[in-house]
Amino acid sequence: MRRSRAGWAMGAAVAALLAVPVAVHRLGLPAYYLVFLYFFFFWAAQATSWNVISGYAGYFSFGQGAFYGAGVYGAAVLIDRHGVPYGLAILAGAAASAAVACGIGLVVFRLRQIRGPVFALVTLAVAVALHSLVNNVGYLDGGRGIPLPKLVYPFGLADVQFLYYAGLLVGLVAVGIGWWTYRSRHGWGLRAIHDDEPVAEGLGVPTFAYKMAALVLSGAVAGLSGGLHALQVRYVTADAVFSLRVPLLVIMMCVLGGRRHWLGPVLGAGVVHAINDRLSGPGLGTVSEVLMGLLLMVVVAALPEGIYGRLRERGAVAGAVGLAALGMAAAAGTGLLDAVALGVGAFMVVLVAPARLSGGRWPARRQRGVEVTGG
Amino acid sequence: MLELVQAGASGILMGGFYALLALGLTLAWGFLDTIDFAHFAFIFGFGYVTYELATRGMDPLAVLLVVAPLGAAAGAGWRFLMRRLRLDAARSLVFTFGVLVVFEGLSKMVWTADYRRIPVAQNPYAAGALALGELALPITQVLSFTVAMLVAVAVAVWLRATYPGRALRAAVSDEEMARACGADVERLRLLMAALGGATAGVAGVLIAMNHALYPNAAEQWIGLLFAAVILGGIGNPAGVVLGGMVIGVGEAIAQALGATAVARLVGACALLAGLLVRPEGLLPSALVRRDG
Repeated sequence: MRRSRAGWAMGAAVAALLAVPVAVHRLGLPAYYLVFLYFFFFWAAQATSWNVISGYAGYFSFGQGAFYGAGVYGAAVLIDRHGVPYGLAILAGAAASAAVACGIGLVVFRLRQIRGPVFALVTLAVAVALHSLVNNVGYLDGGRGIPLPKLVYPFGLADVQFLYYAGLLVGLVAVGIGWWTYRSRHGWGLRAIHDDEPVAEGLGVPTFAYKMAALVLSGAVAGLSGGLHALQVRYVTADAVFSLRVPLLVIMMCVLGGRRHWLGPVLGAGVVHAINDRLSGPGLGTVSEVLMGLLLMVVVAALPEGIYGRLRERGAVAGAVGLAALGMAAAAGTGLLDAVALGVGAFMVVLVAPARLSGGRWPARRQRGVEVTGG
Repeated sequence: MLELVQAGASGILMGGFYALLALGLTLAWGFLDTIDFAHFAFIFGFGYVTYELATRGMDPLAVLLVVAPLGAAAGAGWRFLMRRLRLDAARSLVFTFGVLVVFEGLSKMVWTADYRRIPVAQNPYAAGALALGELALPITQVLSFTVAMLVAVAVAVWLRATYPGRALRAAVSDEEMARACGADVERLRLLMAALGGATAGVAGVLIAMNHALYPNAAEQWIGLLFAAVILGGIGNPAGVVLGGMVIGVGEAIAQALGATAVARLVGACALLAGLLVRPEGLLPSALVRRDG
């Protein structure tokens, strides 16, 4: 019963999203709404990609930029240097990214020592290495950046509309993979690895195969979404692609949304993107950076489970308050997106507010000796 | 041939500098269970302080006397806060990453995104070079190498030969037992954090003397320095020196051979190769962990 209701809700949401460009066109609303939603799909895909390996299995990665960047550059190089059709190029970007993931996995997962923090730093090192490789090899980029030609999209779709539908498709594929992995035997195995890997292995979970599969899936999804994003960016530069922005925001979204459930990254992507979008105006970029950093600190310290867990306790109240704030802001005559950001902000405040700033615990946290002096 | 020797020499000097920057990281990771991205914020924060003081006419080396105690205080204060939050290593990594991002944003607001470098008039050490036979060794690099070596050796000796150092190592291997034997572990950790903060202060002064400062500068160093930490064995001050030198020399030689693209990869490759050959680090970690 519950499940079918959730299924209906999902179906309705997808149908509504499919109709948005038509509505925007007919009602003469700003096309920026489509761009806004495209970026939501993009971040939802990236965050879900990260979550499959780093959330479910607990292999915390700082290397999202490597996967995303492999996708972006894979697609951009093929389109610009070889004139490959963009659809193929995007798929090739996904393949390039999956290959990077495969390489990392083959090296890293063979070494039992590389767990936890060391894994995070190794992935960061790979991202940095790719960055300098792209910056220094002329065929890939060589520091000049790659401008993409203006592309012609099928069905006479405008840029914005095509990217909207393609982004929606990629987002659905990503979330679908996240959902399927979550529910399958694979997901159970990954969660067992997260909780206690040696025990999971002892109980017969094929840890190496599961981790490899999760990492390669994660890479493929990030590369797919990155390849499409090359079309959105139109001018690809290594410094922008490999900056810490992508890993930072993706980690934020998942930590905020909740890493143990497939819906967590989507929630987190929505919240972070809605707020961040309003703060990305001229001169506000730095403010938003500081704010995101602060938010990351607060969430890690106070809400280690993310908001997904809180949603069950007081999701209804928070949702009502958020909607009320949205409605009031809209009635007061602010723009729709400003109102949405305000509503999301109010929603977050209600969810996070009562959390104490200390004493939060991770579920898998090990006891590390008895406090004798008692702090 | 001379080129290679020159590259090796400047690589060793550079490696010493890497070690100084990474020393606080390896100590915090090994002894305080904190993977401290905030250390970069401290280093570059003190770098900017040095820049401000030096442009106002203070001798950069005299700044050391101001900044090192400041760093010690900041390190201890930071440890106090982190202890209140009770984060484990993985969460400390994310938390301090947030701190670094906030620092980058704030320094962009205060000092703008421009490159800042101490003018040569105020930085008398920038221009000169020591001539050693046919080798030319820039004075600032020799200086930072010397300071780095002194600090690293002092810390290594402190850890091996003094009571606080030994008690701290004991606390890492079995905290309960160390407490039972009467070690005031938490106060010793505060001391260790102060030490790490002081190294950040020293590193800040030297980085301001040697390099241009800009808000995102830390991102260039993160991968490299953590590679040195892991290569050297976490918590091992001698190891971080060795790790730093391996990377520094590798980079310099790759550059001398004309492979600039490869030079930037040396850190990452050294890290991966090191992990494959000796996962526990080149030198064994100074610590024995009960939980393996």
